[in-house]
Amino acid sequence: MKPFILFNVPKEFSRFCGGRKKDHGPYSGQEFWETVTRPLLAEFESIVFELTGGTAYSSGFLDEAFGEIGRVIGLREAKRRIKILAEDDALAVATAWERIKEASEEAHAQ
Amino acid sequence: MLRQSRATIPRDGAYRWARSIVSAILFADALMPKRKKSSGRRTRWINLSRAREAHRLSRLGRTYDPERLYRKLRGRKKRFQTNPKFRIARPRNGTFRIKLPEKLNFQTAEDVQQVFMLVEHLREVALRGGYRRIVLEQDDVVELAPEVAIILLAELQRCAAYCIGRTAIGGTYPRDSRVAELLTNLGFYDAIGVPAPALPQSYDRRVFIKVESGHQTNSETIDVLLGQFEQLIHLPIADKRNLHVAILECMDNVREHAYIVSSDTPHLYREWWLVGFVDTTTKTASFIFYDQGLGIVRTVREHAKKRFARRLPLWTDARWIGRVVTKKYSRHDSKRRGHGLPKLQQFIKDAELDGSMRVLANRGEYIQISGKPSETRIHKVSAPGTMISWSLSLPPDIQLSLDL
Repeated sequence: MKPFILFNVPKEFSRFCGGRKKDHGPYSGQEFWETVTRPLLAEFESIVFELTGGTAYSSGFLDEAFGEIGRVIGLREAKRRIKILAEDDALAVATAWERIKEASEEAHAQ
Repeated sequence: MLRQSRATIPRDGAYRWARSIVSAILFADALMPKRKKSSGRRTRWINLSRAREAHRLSRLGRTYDPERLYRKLRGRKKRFQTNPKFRIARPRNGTFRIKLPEKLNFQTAEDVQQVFMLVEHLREVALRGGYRRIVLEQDDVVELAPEVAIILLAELQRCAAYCIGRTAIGGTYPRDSRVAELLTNLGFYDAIGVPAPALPQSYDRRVFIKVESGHQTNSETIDVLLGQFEQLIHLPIADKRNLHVAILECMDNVREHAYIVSSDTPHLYREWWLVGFVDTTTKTASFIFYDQGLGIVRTVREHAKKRFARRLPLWTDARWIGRVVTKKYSRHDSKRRGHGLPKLQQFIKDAELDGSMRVLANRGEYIQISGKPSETRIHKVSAPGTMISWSLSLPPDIQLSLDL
């Protein structure tokens, strides 16, 4: 496993992140999870997601894109391996972590 | 000769029916006892009748096929996704005229009710009335609120999409230049396929309006629309982002919940309309999101969980709207879902400027004005969709120039 990667979401994925599911439109959260988050989790030990510069992030996008991390590796492991940064949108970071936490709780409850 | 004419005949049901008749005649003729003297006459009669039938069918194919134009236009215009289960009646009546009232505002409960009734009337006449032509008489309209304009435009686009090749929808131009400009900028005349009216070179322009519509959750569309207002009003970055998120949530909700694909309702599936406008007289900037789906309340009621079910008969539509836009609500058994609608009022709560949010769906209306307790209204007529509008009061000393 490689040690570290910095993934700039607006530059390397899109500045205009969309909705929750793939069939909702372009640059969806599901698309981000399938093409970015999941492969990076498998390849890198530590990942930094840089959200600064994106127009806006909906709760559906953040849930699909990052919430799934909590379901797959759990909150503790996510806190160790993942960093989410957004200088201009603190609410997006807080929402993403909230979704990761909720997904982790749901996965453990099952 | 006969082969040539047969080649041009469309092979539809009528052709096959006529062919079977001709075959039956020939078969009957073959069974009949032969009389040598009259056989030539009979053959000539049969040949003549076949030629006549072929000619009649070829004419039918060319001029009387009512589905031909529908198929042709339908193949060309794929902008809207219509419901194949819903087919409008064949036109059997002549022209129906709908006269629009002088003032079409959207402030009081009576105004709202008048607009909903007008839209319902238009839809019933266009989709179930069976008229060949519908004329919207707009001559007398002197006041038209942008909210009303977008509801009318959406309804007209729906009716036009279903009426292709069956009912022609047209109208007269309003005498008032401001109303004409508003409708032109909204794309009202494009929707009914008539040229926009000529506007005078100078008149008192009051409203700057831009509209977008679509059927996907598209962040770039929102960015383009908000960007068009940046030259006119300067929204703080945080406010702009909150508004952007609120609209994204609306688009996602439309995509996922608003339209039921299995129903036989004449929907334009997953379609939404987004309007932004600045009124220079009242110094307000407003953004409206509209869809023609089932409405928030009906969607919630249809998928309500057991714990909510006992409240259903007691709660009004307005109360339901207030519930879902203020607190998390989801039909899914997941903590991760249902965070979208509360984001709608986050924009008004956090905005630096004073503002208000208005949500209209089914028979309920929910109004949230910054710094004041929320209000609810109950309407007698059900809304033709869900309308969410955010309005911001601009600073009184702001200079607004509409020459963009």
